[in-house]
Amino acid sequence: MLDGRTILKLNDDVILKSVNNSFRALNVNDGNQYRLNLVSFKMLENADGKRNIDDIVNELTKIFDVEKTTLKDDILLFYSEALQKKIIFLVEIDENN
Amino acid sequence: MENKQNKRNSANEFYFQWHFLNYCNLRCSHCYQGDYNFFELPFEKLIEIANKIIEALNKWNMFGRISLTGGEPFMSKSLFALLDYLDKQDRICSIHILTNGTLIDDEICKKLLKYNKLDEIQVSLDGGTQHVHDATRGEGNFDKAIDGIRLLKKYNFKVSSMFTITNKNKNDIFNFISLAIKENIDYISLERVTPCGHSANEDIISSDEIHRIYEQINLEAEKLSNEIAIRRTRPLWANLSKNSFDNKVGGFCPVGFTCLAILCDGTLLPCRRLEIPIGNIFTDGIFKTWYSSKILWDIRDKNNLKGKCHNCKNISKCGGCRAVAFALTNDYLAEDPQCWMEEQF
Repeated sequence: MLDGRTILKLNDDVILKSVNNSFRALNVNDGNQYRLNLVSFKMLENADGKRNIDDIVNELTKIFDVEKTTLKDDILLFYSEALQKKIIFLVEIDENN
Repeated sequence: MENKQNKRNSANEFYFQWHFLNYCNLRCSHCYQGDYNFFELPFEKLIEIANKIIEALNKWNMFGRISLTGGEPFMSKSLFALLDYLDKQDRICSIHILTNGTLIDDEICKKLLKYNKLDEIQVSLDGGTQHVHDATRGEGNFDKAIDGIRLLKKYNFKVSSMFTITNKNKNDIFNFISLAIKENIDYISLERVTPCGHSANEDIISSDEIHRIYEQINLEAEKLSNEIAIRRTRPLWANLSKNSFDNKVGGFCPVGFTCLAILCDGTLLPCRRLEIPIGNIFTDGIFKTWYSSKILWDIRDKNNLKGKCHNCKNISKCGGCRAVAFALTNDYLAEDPQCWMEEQF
């Protein structure tokens, strides 16, 4: 279950590309390609394995004109789907640190 | 979030030009092949390549058009076994063979008849007369190529012919068109040479002269449209199209979008004439190459095109030839040096 503290990282096999206002995630290993919109593209771009979901929501609300709660609902839904498709992975956090 | 097929090609087709060997019985003076070191992969490795092509087509939900060529494909010991395999694949919709035509005989034609997806055999002709063709392709090869074409027509194959325009043969273009009509060739293409491989810079024709030649061909194509189909869908032809709805003349180069060239050792090129290796099908695979090549991404973004190509009104139907640009300027994004259009601002 994802929450605001979850940290996610883009799969190393996945390349994000934007050309001519077309946004895509491309898996060089299994060949899957996903057409994205600008918001979902930015969500994946920010999945850097360092910042948690709350950090990313804060970041994206600076770019997009959207309520934080709305964006957080959207991002949790999108990341859940992206996890299932192995576009992103969960980063384990050492709770002792 | 959807996993969608590439929408660029409305017909959902992807073109592979597969140079599966580099054996050749000829040494044409303008050949883009740099060497002929008698290389052909074992059949199992050819099947490995075929399977990677099919895997990509499956993933992209596209159908493959494959041109098998070399070298000279009829010198291959694996050609018919490879055709057996490809012809059975649901994802392969069309197979062409590109040949110099000199080795075709009755036995070969009879063997080829069984392939349902073999829908065109292209025989290269670089002259409409014996002496002009043979000046590029070697003595005696005009007659052999014409014999090959006649045999293919006897067995009812669709036959096309490619004429590579150089300074040596530019005055023989109309003889070639007449010959093609006389020999009942179904489709012909006449395209400027790309100076790579053995092709020397003196083969290159000036922009003004290309303009004049293309205009003459275009007029002939319209005049003779009931007798022969002259293909005019590569870069620069759009400059002669009557309007933006004219689908017969002009076409955006598919490089980076719906085509790849595969060399006999598995090297992948954006196009056979754009000689910049972008990966190897064995070590990198198609997906990694297709998704991560900087060169392909550079070409895919039309905004990167330079010079007169950048703001050209015909960009959607042309884009210039990246291979000619690279060969003449060492910059694959440069304007097409042979384009005759004025720069637009």
